[in-house]
Amino acid sequence: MANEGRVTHPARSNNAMLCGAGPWTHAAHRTVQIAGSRGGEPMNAANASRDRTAQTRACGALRHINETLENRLDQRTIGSRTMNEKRRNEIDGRQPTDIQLPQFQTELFQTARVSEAGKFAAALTHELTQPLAAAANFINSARRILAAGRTDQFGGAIGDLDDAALQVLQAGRIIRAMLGLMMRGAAEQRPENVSEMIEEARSLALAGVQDPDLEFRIQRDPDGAKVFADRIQIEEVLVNLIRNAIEAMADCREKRVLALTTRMVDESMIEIAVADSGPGIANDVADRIFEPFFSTRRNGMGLGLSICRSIIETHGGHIQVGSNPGGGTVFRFALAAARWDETANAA
Amino acid sequence: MPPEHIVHIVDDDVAVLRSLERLLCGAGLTVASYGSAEAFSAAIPDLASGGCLVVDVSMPGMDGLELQMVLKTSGICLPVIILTGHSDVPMAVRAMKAGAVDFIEKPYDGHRLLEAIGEALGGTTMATRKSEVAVAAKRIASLSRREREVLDAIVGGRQSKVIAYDLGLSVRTIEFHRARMLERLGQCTIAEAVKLAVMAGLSEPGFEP
Repeated sequence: MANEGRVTHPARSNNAMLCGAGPWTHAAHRTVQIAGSRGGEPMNAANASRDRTAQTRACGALRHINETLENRLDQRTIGSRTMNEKRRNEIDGRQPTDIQLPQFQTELFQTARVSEAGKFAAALTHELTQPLAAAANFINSARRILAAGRTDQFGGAIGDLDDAALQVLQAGRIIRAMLGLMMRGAAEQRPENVSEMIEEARSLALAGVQDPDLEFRIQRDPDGAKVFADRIQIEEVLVNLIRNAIEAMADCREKRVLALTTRMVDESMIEIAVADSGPGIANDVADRIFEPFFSTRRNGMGLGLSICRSIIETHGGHIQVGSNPGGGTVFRFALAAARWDETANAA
Repeated sequence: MPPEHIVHIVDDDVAVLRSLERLLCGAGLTVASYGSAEAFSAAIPDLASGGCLVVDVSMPGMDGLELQMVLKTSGICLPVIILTGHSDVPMAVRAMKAGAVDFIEKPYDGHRLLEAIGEALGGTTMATRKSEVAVAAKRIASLSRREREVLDAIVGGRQSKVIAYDLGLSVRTIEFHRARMLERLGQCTIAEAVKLAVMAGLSEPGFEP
């Protein structure tokens, strides 16, 4: 039949159905017309139904794998950030006093970038090799079954091929995730959900932090609001601020409270505030805190907050520091709100 | 299935582990799989002697090399096949020196893995290992000085551009030596060349298998 005709106009539908052999919780139906060998008149029509239960289950499994992967990528990013921090600190120790700051800063960023890229490449190679190795195994398994003509195991072979396809798709997803992480240089602003960014930044910043006395309060107003932002860059700012806040409270005997608040400043701006219950900062320190290489920490590089400021400024906003009314320090920055109609247009 | 034919596989990646199970079971082998080196080492006391171990060299927590050490100190004699990613060549070298019978770079060809497992289960005796080492040493000895330098650098995990910089040559020249080296070793892949170099290295004095 394949030689005689060509299959045209497939019509597909997916829905749950019950079938003689047992319950199909998910099924795919496909109606095809088979054209005659010279084209034109349809020769025949066929209707095929297929059990997609296994496929749906596999999709669920894939989603789980993807989520795990995202966590792992996040953790690796943190790992390389920590390494970077160490490196910056080493460089800080050797910093010559007469060096031109801007030039030094550029070089420093480049060193940090290159070393991060190298580590990232190694991590990426490992992450990509895993699904490709798994896909190759599944395909080889299926191949052996087919080559031996073990008809009783054809079901298993089909399962292997499905699994192989999932693994290849997984590899593709990793490549896309990598591009998302690497391309952070150019700020690409789009409507982003504020709550989601805060949630992601929080889990990134708190990874590895084990402090039962740390209370994390999030107040969202309005919930679900969107801002125009480069998600990764704003999350970097938030991670920096949260980590700073935790460090500021390191010597606190009383309860440590980290409060993240969002509020509408006016129709066009949404403000995000990160407040700690630490000892607070002196006025002369507050004046200089965003300057590059200014740090109150003994081994601090003094770049974190200046990076935050530059990111917020490329977003057309500004970041400021002040005293937390309840004691401690609060950092605030505002971003342009993405209104619902704009969101719809941009999407 | 007698215990001497059980293939123990250790990999932290669920998909890799399951795909290995499928491949090896399909080839008629009995498989016991473990999601971490810790899980395997917990099972060591219950192991019957025999079989072989296929382990991913890089895993969070205890890695393949550490697991090899645990096996050694527990006095379990189990042939070990190491699976490595591309950037783990120096690790593979260490694993071979620590007594692994073989190492395979991911992603690998199924035949190559099954062959290695077959050899491991068949018991790579000291005699066969010695003759393999002798053959490898002879083939490696056929390389020119430059080709040998390039191969040693690759075994050390260095990339062509780094090798070029170290030797004060252009990347193109390194690529040329690299191609000649592979040709001279018998049209082999980089992984095979590395294995030959490692095997030949085992023939050097001062090494106790």
